[in-house]
Amino acid sequence: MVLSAADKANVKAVWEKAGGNVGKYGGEALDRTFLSFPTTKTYFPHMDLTPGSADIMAHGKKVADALTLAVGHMDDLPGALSKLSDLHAYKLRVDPVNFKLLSHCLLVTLACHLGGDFTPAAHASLDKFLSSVSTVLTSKYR
Amino acid sequence: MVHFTAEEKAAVTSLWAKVNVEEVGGEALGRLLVVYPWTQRFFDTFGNLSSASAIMGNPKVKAHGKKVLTSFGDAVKNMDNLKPAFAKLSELHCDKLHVDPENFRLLGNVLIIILATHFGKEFTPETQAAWQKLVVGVATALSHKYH
Repeated sequence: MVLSAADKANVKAVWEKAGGNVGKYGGEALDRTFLSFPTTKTYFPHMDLTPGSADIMAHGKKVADALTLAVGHMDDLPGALSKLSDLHAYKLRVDPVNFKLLSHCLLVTLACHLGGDFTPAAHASLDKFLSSVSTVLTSKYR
Repeated sequence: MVHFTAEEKAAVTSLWAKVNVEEVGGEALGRLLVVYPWTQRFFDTFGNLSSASAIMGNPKVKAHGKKVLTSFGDAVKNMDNLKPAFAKLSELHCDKLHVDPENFRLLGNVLIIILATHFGKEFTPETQAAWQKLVVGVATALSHKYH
């Protein structure tokens, strides 16, 4: 799967619209993931998983910042995300199925906040982007 | 069998009451075809699906989307017995339409995203969780008669 020029433009445009809220959206996406897909909580026994907790908000911001980095380097995701890829492969070892769950909840969060601006084309591009990021993050698993 | 709490049922039915089935149905099917273009394989007779705007404006897509979502309304009315409610449709999707059940999961998640665009903050994490259960239940029910 390749991100076209149009995809990259769509992703950048959505990220710009989200603006300073991306950190908050990261937290909300995690809240949604833990509520809709409780098995994902198994990776966070060390965190307070009460919805909206400081732990979740902090972690959401971390995730959002990494995605912001990815948005800025869509021409070389493997390069830009190499350290995170190592982390997920050798330390965190989050089962690949979970990336789809978080990606879906990120899309839901963006959809909630952007409404009509989250057009079908933008949705498609974001889905492709998150899928590409997920692929990179699991690329060194075996 | 999926079990819904009273709160989950309330979250689903109260939101459903506000859904314009014709509009949302068309959008849901349209987005499925845009975001996952391989799903177009079932719709060779639908005419112009060459771009996002062509798909979203296609009258056959809108009509079929309405049909599909109207059927979803049956799920909302039968949350405690999805499998029997969808038995005949399950046979149809297997024996006549030959649809891979993975497509039901894709459509379910697209529907949830559309509800999110329409309802914004009202589509809380709790509401989403109830709807996720419902779409999984529908997908499972529709796959139940596959052989």
